[in-house]
Amino acid sequence: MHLLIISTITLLLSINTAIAAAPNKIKIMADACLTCHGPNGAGAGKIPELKGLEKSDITESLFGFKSGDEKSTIMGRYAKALSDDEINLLAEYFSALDK
Amino acid sequence: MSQLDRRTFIKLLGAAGVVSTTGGLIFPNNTAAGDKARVVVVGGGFGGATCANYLRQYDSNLNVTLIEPNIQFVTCPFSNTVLAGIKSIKYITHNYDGLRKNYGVNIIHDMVISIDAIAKKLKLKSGETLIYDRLVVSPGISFNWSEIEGANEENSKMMPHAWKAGTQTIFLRKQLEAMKDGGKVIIASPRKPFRAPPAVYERASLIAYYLKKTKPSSKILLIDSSGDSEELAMFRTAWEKLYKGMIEWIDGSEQGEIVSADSKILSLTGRTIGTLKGDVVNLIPPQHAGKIARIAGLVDESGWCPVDPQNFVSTLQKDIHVIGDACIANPMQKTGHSANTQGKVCAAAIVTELGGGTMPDITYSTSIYSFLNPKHAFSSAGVYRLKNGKLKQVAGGLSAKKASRKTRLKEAIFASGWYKGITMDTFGKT
Repeated sequence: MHLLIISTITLLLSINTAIAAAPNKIKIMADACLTCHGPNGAGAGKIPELKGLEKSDITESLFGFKSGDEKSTIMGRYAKALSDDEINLLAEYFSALDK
Repeated sequence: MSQLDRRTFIKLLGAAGVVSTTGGLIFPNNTAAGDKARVVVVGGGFGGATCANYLRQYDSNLNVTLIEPNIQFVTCPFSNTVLAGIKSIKYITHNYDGLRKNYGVNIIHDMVISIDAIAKKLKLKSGETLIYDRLVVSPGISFNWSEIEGANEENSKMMPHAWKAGTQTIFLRKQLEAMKDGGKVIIASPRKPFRAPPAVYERASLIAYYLKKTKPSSKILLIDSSGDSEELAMFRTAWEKLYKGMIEWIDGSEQGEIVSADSKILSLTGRTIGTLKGDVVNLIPPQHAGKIARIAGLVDESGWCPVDPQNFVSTLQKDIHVIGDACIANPMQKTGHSANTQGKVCAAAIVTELGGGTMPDITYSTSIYSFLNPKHAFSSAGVYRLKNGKLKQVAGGLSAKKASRKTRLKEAIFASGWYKGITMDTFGKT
């Protein structure tokens, strides 16, 4: 079921991309992460890199930050704003970037 | 320039999407420009630089021109570390090479003196005229000196605001260095809204850090127009521990703000607090949107620019977007991070709308880190979504009220990472 939802959203997003060269929802949301995590999600100072990480590592962290099970200084305050689908799609986006 | 040289020059400029008419440089009309939409961005701070950068990232066919008077940009974030002697002014100074070389943004170092929203053109101080399809105005703040009798741009050398970083930061740093041990520093904040309110508390903290090391008998008087808050309480708890007895907080809210200043004897007067005299006076004046926003009719009676937060289009002028400190994007605070976010959202909205689409439901993020000392920092974060056309906070908040020294150190380390990340992201460094 979960996979079906993700596939549908991915399909919808790709259709949106096909209609116009505009950045889609997840691209815009992923670019928001780069303010702290640096260009291309390569990390900045001690703020960790995101690009090329395993998707499961990213989802595990983000779901952990969202629930509070994973301790953080600031990420818990951000992750609570994300829907489960957004977490999955963001993880997919960053894991697909070349390490 | 000879005629031949001039022709060659024009040809070269034409290739880059710029031609000359009556001696000034302008963008070509639609026919000459082909299908390339022309977006002009006014102001090269966190909002404008980010927007220009992401416009080109999202659509490399766009003709994007950034107009900024200064060759270098000195950031307000981390400028308090310069006041405290922790970082150099060079550390907070950035140029536009990355935007030009890595993202193909045309940079014009000039000043916009007027905008014609109907004809979609703007005039530069040098006499040139630019035509645009979309205009993004990101002028930051300017100071409303008229609210404080006796204060003006000229005597701000004696009582530096240092609320625009650069020479003002150096003025204030030099005064702090020259002050004798046992001296009194006054920091006076303006009424809200103003740029980066928590930075006032960071400033008090870092000046205290410097004084404690070098002039430990000195005192800081903080006249705070924002009044009491949860955030202030966190700072005051930390001040008690780190700088006991050094920072005196004075409630300047409820009509308590500064109404007159005397730069000769370094005194400030507030309606409810009387007259206070210091050895160094950091008077941060009331603020409103940058000058060009006011000239162009982009401000309302509040002095700031109302916008639709979905695409940051002005509600007062057609096809002009306003981002950064100048716009009204409540409840997002006026910070560098907010401006960076707004720059990206605005860029995405322009590219989306030019392609005939509508903006998806997204989050808007912001944060502001505040140092208490180089190894101790707090943060305030906010995440927002559009609901019924207005921004609503959906997550965020302050750092934990109680935390170990290790956690505060971690935030200080992340604050430095944040600075590196946001400046690379904004100024197109790779």
